[in-house]
Amino acid sequence: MTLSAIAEPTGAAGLATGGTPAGRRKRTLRVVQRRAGLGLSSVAIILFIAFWVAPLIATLMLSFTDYGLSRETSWVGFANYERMFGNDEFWNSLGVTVVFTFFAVGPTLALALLLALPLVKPGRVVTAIRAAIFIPAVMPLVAASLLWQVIYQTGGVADQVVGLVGLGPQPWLKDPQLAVVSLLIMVIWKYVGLYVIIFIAGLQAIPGNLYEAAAIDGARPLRTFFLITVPQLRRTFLFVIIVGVTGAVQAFVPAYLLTKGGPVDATQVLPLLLFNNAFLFSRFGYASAIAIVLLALLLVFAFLQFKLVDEPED
Amino acid sequence: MFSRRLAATAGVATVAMVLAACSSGSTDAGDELPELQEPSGSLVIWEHANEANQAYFEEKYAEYEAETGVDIEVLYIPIADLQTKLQTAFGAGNPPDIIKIGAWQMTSLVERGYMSELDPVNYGAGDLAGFEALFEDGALDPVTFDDAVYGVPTDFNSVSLWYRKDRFEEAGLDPNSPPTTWEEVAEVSEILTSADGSKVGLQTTLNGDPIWAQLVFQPLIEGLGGSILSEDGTAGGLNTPEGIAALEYYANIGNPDLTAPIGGFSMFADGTAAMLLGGRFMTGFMPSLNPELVYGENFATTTIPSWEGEDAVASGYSWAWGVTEDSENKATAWNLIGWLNEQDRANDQLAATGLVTPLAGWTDLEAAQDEASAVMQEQLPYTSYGVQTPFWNEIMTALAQTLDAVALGQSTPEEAAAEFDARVADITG
Repeated sequence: MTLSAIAEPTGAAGLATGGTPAGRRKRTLRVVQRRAGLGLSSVAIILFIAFWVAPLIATLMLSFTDYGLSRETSWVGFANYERMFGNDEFWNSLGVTVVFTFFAVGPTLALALLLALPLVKPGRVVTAIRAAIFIPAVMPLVAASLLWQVIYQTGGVADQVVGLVGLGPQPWLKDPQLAVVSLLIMVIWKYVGLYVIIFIAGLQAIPGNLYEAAAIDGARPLRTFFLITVPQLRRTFLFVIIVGVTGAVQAFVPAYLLTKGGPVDATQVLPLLLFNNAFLFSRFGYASAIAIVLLALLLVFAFLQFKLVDEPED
Repeated sequence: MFSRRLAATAGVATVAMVLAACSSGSTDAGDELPELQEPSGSLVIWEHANEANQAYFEEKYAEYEAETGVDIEVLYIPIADLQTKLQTAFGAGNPPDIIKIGAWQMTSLVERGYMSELDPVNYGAGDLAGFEALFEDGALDPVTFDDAVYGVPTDFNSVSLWYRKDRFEEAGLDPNSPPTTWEEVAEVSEILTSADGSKVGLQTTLNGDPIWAQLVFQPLIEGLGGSILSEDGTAGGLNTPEGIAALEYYANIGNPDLTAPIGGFSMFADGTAAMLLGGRFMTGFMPSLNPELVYGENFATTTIPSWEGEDAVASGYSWAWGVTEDSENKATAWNLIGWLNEQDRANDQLAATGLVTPLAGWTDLEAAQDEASAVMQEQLPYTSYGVQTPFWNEIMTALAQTLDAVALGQSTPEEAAAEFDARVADITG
């Protein structure tokens, strides 16, 4: 029971206004409630303003300057944005980011759902398989990236695997097209376990009587999957897509550690372009403009996802 | 989470902007000599991690601590992260006292007032003339900006051609007659390359790395009379007959598909590559990657090749010790740097690590009595250090991408050259 529920007068007394002792008590309680609420949330509000709102405003302001650490800073209006939108490197990075996001999230979710279906039911073997699939997800991303760097080196594990089907060594990180695929394989391997666990939780929450009713009606497994499982997982889908897309758009470490954005900018995702401009080239103003565009991109993605996946009535 | 990271960056940047505004104005350190001070207090040093060298420096720092009572804290940073970490530290107003960085990256730090001018008194040289007299002619060029010295050169290199004598022998080539021209290098490379391309002749040193892009490409283009940048560093020089010819040659060096943890260095160490462009440090570095490698026995070096009928041009670079402007213990910092680079220790350093401190007459040091040092000394008169520019990182990153593009066949030399020059104009404009 909440504090307001305790304080709320019932019946005719509830209609009492400020003039009565009950009304005064009610007003006092409300004031106390408001103050308590403000007091309890003030730390979070201060932290939110200090570490989110203020830096966001600062970033927005910096995006209109030529700030480069200690150089004299001046307002440049929309020059950073003009430079960005007129720059092939930016459009290349945007394209790489979109492709990377699409092919990182889509296959990961599909694979995760396929793996989750047989792992829903409890059992020792199933638990062991779930744990094994989850291991890459708990591995630090930096460690995972370094591991894959070794896997992809000439004569490494990746070459040995393709050698089993008669293929020779491949330029995993040196060919512009293959480098993107190599990054995607690593990212899918890293995150599929996390989504498997989320899908298992979603599948376990589906009421069993729906499946029983479908079985009585003679529905076949595929029909049951598409007409019961998938719709019932709508909320889970929304969650994993938002988390997946947000993570993929921000993905920085794999490209930074495995390819440095190369070869020839083939894997230069937007966060890496931003990082290079800020911390290698000291173009903080320009990097801030990229950050603002990245933020806008994420907001658009999030909005579209809610529109596509969310239902009007839950 | 990323937005928060950005926000935090912006926050740091905002603070840095305020600090910068508060500390504007240049120092006039050169006008008046500082007083000699007893070393005291504590020092924080940042240098790049290199297993081959760390043991040596740890030992020397311990010696200095024992001699002076100064407390030293060292942070070894992976080379790829050094610049980033420094940028954030300077931005936040919390840099270390001493840094060891590539002199090619010093220009932008000096331009922003982050580095302190040399203190020759506490270095132990008396005055600037005394300090300059300690070094080889031209050795201070990479650390001199607007006629003021900001660092002390160390790990000083003139890039030469390194070759695996065992690979030459296996291929039926004379291991004591390495190629002397770029044309010969191409011919020999063909002989040393296996049919499947898994073994190569000359391999690029470190793909995608800005400094090695400059060091490898500079001898090719400057040897033809061209240059990567104009003298004032504002225009690209690739879209010229010399630049395009050099790119055409570069496109055929080694096998761009090969991957190894540290690129050509790893490939030279394991014998995949029979030739590599590298510095004097290779004598210490290669055995650290492959203990079976013994300088003189199975690998050696020779002077940088020239184009037929042209004079040779070698690439030079130096790392440098520097003291940050924000250091509160500058006198002790310069004292330690001077102590580290005294002649006896320069000799110890060269013997233990292969890193040269270019003191005057360094080739007379006991540790320098080898062919590698002689080759480097021979090359110094025709060694080019490139153009100093505050946009070095950005321009050389563009060069590395340009070289990758031609090597991988993504662009023709003509297209890549035009694009590079346009990017330089955009960067410097």
